Amino acid sequence: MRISTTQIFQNGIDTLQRNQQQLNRTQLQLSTGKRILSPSDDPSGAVQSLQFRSGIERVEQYQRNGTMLEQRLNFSETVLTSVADGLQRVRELALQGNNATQTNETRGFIAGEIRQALDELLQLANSRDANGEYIFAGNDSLTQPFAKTTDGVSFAGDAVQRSLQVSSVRQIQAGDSGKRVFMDIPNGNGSFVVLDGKENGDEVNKGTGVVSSTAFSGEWPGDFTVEFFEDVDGELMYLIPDPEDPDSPLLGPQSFQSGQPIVYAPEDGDFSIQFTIEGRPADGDSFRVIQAEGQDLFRTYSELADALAQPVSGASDQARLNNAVNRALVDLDQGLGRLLDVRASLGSRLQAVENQNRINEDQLLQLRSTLSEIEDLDYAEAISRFNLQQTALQAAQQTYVQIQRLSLFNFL
Amino acid sequence: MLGIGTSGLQAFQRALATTSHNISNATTEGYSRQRVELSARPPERAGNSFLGAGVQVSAVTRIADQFVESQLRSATSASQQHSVFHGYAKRVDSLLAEADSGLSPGLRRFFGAVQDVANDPTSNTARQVLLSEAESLVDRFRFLDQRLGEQRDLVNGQIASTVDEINSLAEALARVNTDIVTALGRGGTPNDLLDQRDTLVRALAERVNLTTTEQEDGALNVFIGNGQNLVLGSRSNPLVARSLGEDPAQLDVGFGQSSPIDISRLITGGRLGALLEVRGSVLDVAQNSLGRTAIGLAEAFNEQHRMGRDLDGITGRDFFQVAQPEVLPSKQSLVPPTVTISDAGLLGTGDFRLVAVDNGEGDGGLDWQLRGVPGGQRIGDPSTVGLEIDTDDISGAVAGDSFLIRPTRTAASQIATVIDDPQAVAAAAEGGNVGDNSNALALGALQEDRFLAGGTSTLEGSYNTLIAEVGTRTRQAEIASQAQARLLAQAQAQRESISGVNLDEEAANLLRFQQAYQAAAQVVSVTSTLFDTLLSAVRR
Repeated sequence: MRISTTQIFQNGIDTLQRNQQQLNRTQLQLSTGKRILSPSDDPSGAVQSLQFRSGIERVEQYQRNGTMLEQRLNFSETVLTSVADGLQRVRELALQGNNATQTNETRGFIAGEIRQALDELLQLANSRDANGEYIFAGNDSLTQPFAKTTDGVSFAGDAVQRSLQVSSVRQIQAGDSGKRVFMDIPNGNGSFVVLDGKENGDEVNKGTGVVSSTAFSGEWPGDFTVEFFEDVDGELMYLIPDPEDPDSPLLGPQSFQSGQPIVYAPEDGDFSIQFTIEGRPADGDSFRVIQAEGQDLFRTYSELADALAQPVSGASDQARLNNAVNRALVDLDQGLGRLLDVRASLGSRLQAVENQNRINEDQLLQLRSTLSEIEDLDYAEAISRFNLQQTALQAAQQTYVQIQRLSLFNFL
Repeated sequence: MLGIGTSGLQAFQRALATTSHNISNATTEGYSRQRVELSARPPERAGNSFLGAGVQVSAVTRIADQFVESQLRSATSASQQHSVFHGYAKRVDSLLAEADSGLSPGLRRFFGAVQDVANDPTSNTARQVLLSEAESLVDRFRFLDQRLGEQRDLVNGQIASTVDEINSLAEALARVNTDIVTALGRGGTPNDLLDQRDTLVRALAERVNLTTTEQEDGALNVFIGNGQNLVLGSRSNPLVARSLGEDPAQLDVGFGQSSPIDISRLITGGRLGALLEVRGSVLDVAQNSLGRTAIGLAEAFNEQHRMGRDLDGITGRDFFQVAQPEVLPSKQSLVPPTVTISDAGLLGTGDFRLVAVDNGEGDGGLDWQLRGVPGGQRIGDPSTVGLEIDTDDISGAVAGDSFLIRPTRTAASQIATVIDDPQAVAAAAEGGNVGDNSNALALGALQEDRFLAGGTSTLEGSYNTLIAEVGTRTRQAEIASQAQARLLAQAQAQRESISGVNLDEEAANLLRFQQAYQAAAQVVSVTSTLFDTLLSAVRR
């Protein structure tokens, strides 16, 4: 083919241009370390890399959420450990106070210590985290949840506690509401409580009857009273009067034997109530059997302290004290049980967060390595390409200069 | 014999002059080499035989091939189109996906901040950070839209200047046509004028795809679009660049001076074709798509936010503010319909035109037809494209009037945050307390919720789709532009191969004609010697 002089120049320049473009591109790739310089280099790769980047940031955010959650759960756990320690101490004090060797004075000291423990418990229940949120206030976290009132301690918080997102599909509750931790703890054996004395509280028992083990099954029939009296022979009897019809009691009259269980399980009823009274109730003493209800830990503490603070003179006072302390011990155990439940649940949540963190960690590693595969440059390949392109450009430059020298006019 | 010798001298002088002309124009753009065609003069009769009478210049021809030339022209149009398109597309491409300026990082940080509020709903800091991130995200939308708008302005400016260039080239072409027709009328071929004309046509072809036909008198007619005669003999018909549709800011290409008809759709190839295509298929789509993401974000976030409760216990308000669809009437006097977005999840990236047609009942009543732009496909029920159009509001319309409806075009430029008080972030669910984060969790979940594009795409996904679309178009344009550049180089090589000057060849010709000239001079000298011999013989 015939070739024009312009063409010779143009071809040379075109080749130089092309080589320079390629070299420049490789140089850019090498300096950025990226295979894809703009989405058009590899549209699907570019979008994929955006998706992976987004995935990485999301997982990183979940990690942040997880750390936050872990802090909160750990803090709750620390506070609840202190609460449990305090509870154990109060339990020991109750046992001590129950001991017949104690004097009114020493019992007074014990009562004082329990009142202190109550203040401590109140403080712990009003714990605040680093952000100033009350950790046991549920979602009403900026209001102090527990406050002393004339009638004990009231809860002003929220029963609902927020959850945090630790993966795209998993939310974990960040703590527990004080309502569950400190309030609404069942008392007695969880079904009923036996109180000594009459309902109005003024008329106390004069005997030495102390309630011990209790048992219940079936449907609660309604609260009732067990009344003791001496019959004409002077034998101690008991009966459960029917408030509707005083002439035909629900149970008894039966003769009383200390330590013998009192069983109230009529054949036509669908329940069985059983408890034991030790000692000897006096004529006219009564014991009220009432259905258990939620009680707060604060009340348990304060009632225990009140009972211990009351001076004891004589066997019937001792029996009353024993009854009160026994009830408190059961209630304390209930509180301890609730605390164990909450802490177990906290522990399992902490475990779950840790597991999730590990999963997230693995996921991050995987996402990052895939992202790198998509967008990072294969340096070995790029460097050898760079060398090749450099050589090509040099060759083009040299041949261009050589060709330009050739002209017939040089010989004219 | 003297005559023969002189004819040779004259002919070779012309040949040398032409060779010099070629050498001088070796680098002139569009120059076609010329060649002196020599032929023997008609012989003289001498008895039974013919005696040669020397040489004559029969023509100075221009070595050119009209087929190759027209190939070069179409290659030029195509190559220009693809390379200009690629240039603009690449800019949009990098703009959208740039790690620092793209939308994705902003979206991710915003939703990260939402989750931080969920982690700690009572923290004023977390709420403040969320508001700042929302502000950055909104800025990001506006920034991207503004950059796209700048590209649009640039494209519009280029359309105007390209149309001006086309007009002046067409005018020059018409003048050259006149000169050529005159020259041809006088006899002989005006080689350099023809070169000039080819160069002008090629310059036109760089700007717009065209077809040519040559008239019998030698004038060249140039047609563009689907047969609009840009140049007809010695007359050129200028194009106009101005708004011919509903949008006063959009430059269209019109043909005809007094009442121009819009031929934008018909223009293909060249720079003008590329500019129109970039505007329609890259910038429109990109701005609409960005707007759609903005609307999707605002509507979904607002909806969820309104379900919540803020730190002061007040029901959540709108978090973002977003523009209503843009409605542009074909006549300023028209009262437009009320267009609202009924379902952001159904929005696409196209625009619509609401056209008034006679209802055919002879009572002058109008039917309103909704059509897609571009494409023109009929849309029966606006709610299928996420819109609600109340045509009852329209007044002053007659058949043929129309409204251009752009549901998402301006959304990205006008999105704003409404909430500036950190307390007003509704992190709690309705009825929840200050520490409740349920609504913040629900807001955070929107990040991965596929509620756009008919429930197939997340917010980030819809933006990624745009990146992929523009990226693919850019990639295609790059490949096409490389291929067209090669085709153009080939066409140029072919033209150069035929019409280009080769200096070595001219040097050889120079030698050849010089020698021939010297030989012819020798003939004259010998003739003169012969004459002298004869004279001296007579004198004796």
